[in-house]
Amino acid sequence: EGAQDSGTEAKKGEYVLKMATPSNPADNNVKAFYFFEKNVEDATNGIIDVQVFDSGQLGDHADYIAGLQIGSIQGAEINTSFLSSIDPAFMIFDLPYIVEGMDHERAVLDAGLDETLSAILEKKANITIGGWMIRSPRSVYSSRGPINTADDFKGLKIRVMDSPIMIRTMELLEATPVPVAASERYMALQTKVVDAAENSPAIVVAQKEFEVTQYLSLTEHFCTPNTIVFDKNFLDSLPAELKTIVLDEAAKAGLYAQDLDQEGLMETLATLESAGMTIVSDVDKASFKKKLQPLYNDYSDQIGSDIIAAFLK
Amino acid sequence: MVTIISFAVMIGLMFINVPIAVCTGLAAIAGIFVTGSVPLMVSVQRMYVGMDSFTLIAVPLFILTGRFMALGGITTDLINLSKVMVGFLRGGLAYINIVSSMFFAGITGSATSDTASVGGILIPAMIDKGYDKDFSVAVTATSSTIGVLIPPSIPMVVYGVASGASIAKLFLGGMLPGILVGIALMIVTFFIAAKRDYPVDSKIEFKEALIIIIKSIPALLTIIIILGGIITGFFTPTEAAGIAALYSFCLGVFYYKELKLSNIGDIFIEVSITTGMVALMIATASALGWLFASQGVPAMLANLILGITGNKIIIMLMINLLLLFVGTWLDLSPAVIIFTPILLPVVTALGIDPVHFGIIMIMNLAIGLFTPPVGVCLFVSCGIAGISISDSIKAFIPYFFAMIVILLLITYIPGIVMLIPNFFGL
Amino acid sequence: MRMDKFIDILYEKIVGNLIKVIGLIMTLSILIQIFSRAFMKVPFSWTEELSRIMFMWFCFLGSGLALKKKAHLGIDFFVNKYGQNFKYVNQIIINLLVGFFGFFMAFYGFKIARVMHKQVSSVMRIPMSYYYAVIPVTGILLLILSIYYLIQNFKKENRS
Ligand code: NA
Ligand code: NA
Repeated sequence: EGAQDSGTEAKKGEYVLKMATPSNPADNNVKAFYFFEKNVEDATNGIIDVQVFDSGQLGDHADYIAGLQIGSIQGAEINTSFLSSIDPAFMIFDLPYIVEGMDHERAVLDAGLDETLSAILEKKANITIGGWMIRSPRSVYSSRGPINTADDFKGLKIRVMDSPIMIRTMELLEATPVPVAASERYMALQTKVVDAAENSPAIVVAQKEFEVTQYLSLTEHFCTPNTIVFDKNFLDSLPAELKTIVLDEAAKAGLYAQDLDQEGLMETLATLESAGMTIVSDVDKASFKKKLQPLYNDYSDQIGSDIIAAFLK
Repeated sequence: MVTIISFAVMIGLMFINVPIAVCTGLAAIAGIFVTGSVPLMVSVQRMYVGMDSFTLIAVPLFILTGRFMALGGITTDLINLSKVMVGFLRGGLAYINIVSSMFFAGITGSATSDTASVGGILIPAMIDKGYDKDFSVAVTATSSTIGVLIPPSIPMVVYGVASGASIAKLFLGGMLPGILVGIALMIVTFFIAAKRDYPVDSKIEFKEALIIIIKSIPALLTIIIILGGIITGFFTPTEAAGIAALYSFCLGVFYYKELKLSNIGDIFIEVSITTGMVALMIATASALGWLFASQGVPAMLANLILGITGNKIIIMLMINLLLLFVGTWLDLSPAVIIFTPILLPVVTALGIDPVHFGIIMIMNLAIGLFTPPVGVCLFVSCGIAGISISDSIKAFIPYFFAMIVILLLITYIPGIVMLIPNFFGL
Repeated sequence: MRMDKFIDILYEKIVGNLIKVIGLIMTLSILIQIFSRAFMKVPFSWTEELSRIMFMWFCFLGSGLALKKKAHLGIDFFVNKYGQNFKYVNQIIINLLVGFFGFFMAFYGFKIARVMHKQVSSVMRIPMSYYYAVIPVTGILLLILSIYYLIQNFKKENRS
């Protein structure tokens, strides 16, 4: 029956789209995945059966890259910092302050970067980017004191992920980067192995880290988006109109996640404040940017100066 | 359907003595083959991913620490120390066996190494002094399981990786249950020793006792290094294991003077063989676990269990029974890898802390270490004593029930597990 | 005889010595990580990745060696209840199954390593295929050994 003409004759569940995400159901990105599931199944009359596997049931970001290539999953949420293992162009999002905010990031992507990056990924790994779920930027939360200017970073022991750019960022700000696994982060803050950590504010709530820190300074230094990606072979196996539906709905789901996140941010900050945290919004970002300038030059060869320029204009 | 076929293949192959890692691997392959929609390559990818964790490096390092220590003669020191503490009781050697296991547990992360080293010395000594073989085997094998409850613990590292729970918390959470098991086993021993009229060990003079205590201090320091580093948060568990290995190496070379640089190579070979056995089991179990997840088994089971009853007490009882059964068949690490993703959603829905559940799970599976058909500690200790498994079973029964009592206590009184982690404010 | 020697050289000399070196590097890089964090302002970033790749090779080569030492756990509880003939056939079946598993690991492991060749590790930026190669290499080690054991099975039969 597969040989028959597409669309009209196809049965319910003819195509199975297994989508994997490492996040938990309460997360906005997972909500966006379920939003995508409903929309695609409605629009295709169930011909495409979308199955969402959340909470890392099928692995983590890094595994999804291989999973898409060998066909064990057809779609996934992957953070761009993991996509840089395929092409260094994706390191662009790891650069601090390259992005001025969620809307700026969205505008640059829409202006053509989306297609550039998707094309790179298709060529190298046969993976297509369908949508971008942009989260509110990462900020520093600390037990030592507020961060208003670059000077406040001096000597700050801050937990970082094991990423060379992040470590170098903290070095340039004259802080002491300490790589700690995510699962031990709360304890490291509690036992003062580190004074501070940095993350999206929602994480501080989810992990109850407001119990062990006092100041959330809205430094908003990183804004690494999560992509909704698909196995290109799977997309190509779909009839053209179904492929269009999948890609359109993925783009919509990306915007949906971003909207949820933006709405949630105010609520998150209020929750943190009522839990006794001080939200520091008087932050001199220009003083950080000045110190971080060498980083842009260090990475311009690897990332590509045209991609960096797309954000700086 | 896929689940049933996979389990059937796994258990069928186990029956005919195929290495357990290969049974699990072939079960995953068979399952994937049946689905038809999952590419076979995914099994090898999951095998790799399942092992690829910085945290798991703690496993060979803790094993390495144990080897360095054993070569240095630490086992004798700890047994002597236990002699000072409990040797004067009726059935002294049995108590010594239990207490040495508790000390040993603070240094090694596995139960098998405890059976082999403590049992290797004490089983022949017990038989020599007129203790029954079955009793000697039962005391040795059951007390060895304390090795995975008192930190460091390899299964806890594996559980931490599988569940995302803090390994530091797990380590501290296992301490009190481990000590309680030790006490429970000693209470059972008290009654058996009285009934069978076992001998009292020779008295130790005060001066001699003092020397023994001082001599064992360097060995006991290992426990403090590992726990201290983790409690203060200065080390990750992997780093603590690295420091412990370095410390035990220095002890072996400079203090015990038994360890030569020329031994190092062979020790690494031994460690890699032990780790390699565990690694292949974890790897293939990860492949099987992935297959179950991709078929929606965890959600299905959660709905099934929560559909039968919402009663937390009954659900935990069912989960305990399931895990006890699993433990009789599977070794700890693969069981943890396969069942953590399946059961964790159920217990978190009930509001049970993942750390608390980790200790419950490991305790269940640890009991499986001395129950047939698959019980490594049972096999090793019976091997040392030269007694068949079926002849030793009866002596195990009172100890088995003592452990079940402790298991129920830690299941229904979370405070027993959480007391120490909470005390340190973790 | 020649086969025995080949097996001996491959597992005891080559794999054995590799494991010694790899184990040492793995342990040292963990220690370097701790000391660099404690005493240096900027800790090394490569120690975690280096120790991890060493760990993978240490474990998987070790599992190959474990088969050589017949150290992999199995359940002989039921098999032991039967006689010599049963055990002989049982041994052949076990070796066939282990051989199949080794072949599977080698074949699909080679394919996955090729897929991973396009990705690089996050710190040292070396192709992930060097990491994933543990799978096919271990598969080959298991396969060779099971063939060797099978041949030994049949030789034993001829003698008796
Ligand atoms: Na232990
Ligand atoms: Na014991």
